[in-house]
Amino acid sequence: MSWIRERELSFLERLTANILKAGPMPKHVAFIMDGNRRFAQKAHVQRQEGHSQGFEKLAETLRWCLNLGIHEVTVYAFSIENFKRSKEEVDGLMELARQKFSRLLTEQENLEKHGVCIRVLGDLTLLPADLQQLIAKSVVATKAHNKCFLNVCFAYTSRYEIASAVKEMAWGVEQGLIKSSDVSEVLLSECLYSSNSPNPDLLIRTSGEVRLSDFLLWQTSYSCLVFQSVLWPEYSFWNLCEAVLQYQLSYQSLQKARDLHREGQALQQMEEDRSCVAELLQHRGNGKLVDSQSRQKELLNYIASREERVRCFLNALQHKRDTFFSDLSSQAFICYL
Amino acid sequence: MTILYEMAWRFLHALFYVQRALVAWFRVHIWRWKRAVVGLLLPLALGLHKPKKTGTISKRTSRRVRCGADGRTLEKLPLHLGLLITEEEIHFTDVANLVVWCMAVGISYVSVYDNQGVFRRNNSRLMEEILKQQQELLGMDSSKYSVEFMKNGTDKQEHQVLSCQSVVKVLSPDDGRLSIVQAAQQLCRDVEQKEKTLKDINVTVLDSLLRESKNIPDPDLVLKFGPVESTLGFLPWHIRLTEIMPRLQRSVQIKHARICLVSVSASKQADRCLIKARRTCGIKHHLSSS
Repeated sequence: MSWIRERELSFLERLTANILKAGPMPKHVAFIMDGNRRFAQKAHVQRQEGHSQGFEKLAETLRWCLNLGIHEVTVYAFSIENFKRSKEEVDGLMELARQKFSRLLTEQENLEKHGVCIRVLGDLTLLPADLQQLIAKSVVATKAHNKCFLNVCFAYTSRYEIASAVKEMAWGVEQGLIKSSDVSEVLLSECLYSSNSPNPDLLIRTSGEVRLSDFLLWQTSYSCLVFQSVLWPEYSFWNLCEAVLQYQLSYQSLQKARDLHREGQALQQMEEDRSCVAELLQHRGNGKLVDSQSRQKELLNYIASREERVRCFLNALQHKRDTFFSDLSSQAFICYL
Repeated sequence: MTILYEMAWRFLHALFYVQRALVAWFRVHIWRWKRAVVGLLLPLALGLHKPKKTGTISKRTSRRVRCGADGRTLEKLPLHLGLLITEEEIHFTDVANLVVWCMAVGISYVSVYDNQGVFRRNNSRLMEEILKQQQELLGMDSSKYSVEFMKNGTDKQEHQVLSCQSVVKVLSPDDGRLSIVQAAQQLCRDVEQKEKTLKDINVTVLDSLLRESKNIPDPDLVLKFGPVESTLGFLPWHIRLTEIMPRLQRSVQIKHARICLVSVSASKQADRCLIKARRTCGIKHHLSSS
């Protein structure tokens, strides 16, 4: 299969994988695949060849991840900022994407065999129409698969994603599905492009840069960050193992920090609910004092109704997103008839 | 077989800990040795003939001279430096020491962050330590370096620029995701009350709203202290292009941050980051010459 290398691990690689798997393993890894252009310069080849090699390396890395039991991978393929590069390079990258997504559509059997679900995160409307349709077809074709997940960030920046999530919540408010007081950290997370995935446990950036470059800024707040100096097309199984080892070394402290954050979130939500109920009772009560039992009952009712509102809103949002992809995908079908 | 793998895993981790400890020890001692050599050879190289009575120079003066020397060797300075403390035990004196050094070296905005909110809760204790270290380290010159402590939302931009040369800001997770959520709530309320439409919500609007409530410039550089390789909720919106100094060593003592900043300044990474940051950062800080 073109997107996942079929090669098996060597004996030594298998041994190392088994040793690593004795400890806590990340379930979701994010990659900033940096260094394609520098590799091209180093190897005296065209930039396009560097990007092509980068894709081959992605296919290899996905195989290693599956061998290590990592079933969800998110990659930063193309940033909105990258549109500022030369027309030649951007066109080259779009053409590479066209080739790879077209190829993917011819490998349906393999995709089903491996249970690969492809998701593309970003503002697809910024891409050429034919590429949008290819992407939509790939996403719809693999939607039901659930053995492993590949999230490709294309025409993506994190700030744009967060602003888009805020816009979705505002849409919910406009439609009367939720109230502005329902807006919370948890709800914002559910409105991001990555809402169907857990937060990455590990983020790896290659080529020696030590920035996040507007990638998953919200989702990686409590992730292990590993910056490696190797260029992406030169990435090896051992580099991946080194990153996993770093994750394992930070695991305990990260768990603790995450638990603390979750507790804080729950407290924040409780405070917000209490304040909403207090306001509600004040409006209703006409100055009468409410006993604590009634207040508690009101609070539970309020929480139940808020959760129901949010559930309906999230269903509507998912439906809106699914419709976007299926409409795009069926447009393509009509074109090919 | 599983037990064997587990044993091998524990051995691998133990090996890694030892390697990190050795690297850390090595780095500190190499740096100290280099410093000593530079201190000895530089006056000779510059042909200084005046005999220096090193014995009579006080410890405080020599520390001040060292700060100034550090400032001169650092050609490019971050406008906003973030100190991210992930250590279990927080040493206020060490942190204060580092903050004062940052100020003396010429960094105009220093933020101090920990994910448990310890600094936020003990803001006054940190302030006292910083003032104490300022006095001790800078002595007569301490009046030239005024510090503005910002702890929450009522920061005033003008006040910062006119009266302060350095700003020290204490941050906690509330300044991160929670601030974004509060801005989102505001925008949703505006839509609810029909004061805004969906078209009015975009990155620029959200960014201005965040800057309105807490005017924190994007950090150019973050130094992480402690064993955890994560930002632990530090200003997710603002760290879009921030250079996050990876653990150069398992930093047990915060004072070794001097090594980090000096080596960062000398590195190519810093050049790229700081040139870019200067171009994109719209915040101006006025520093009078010392």
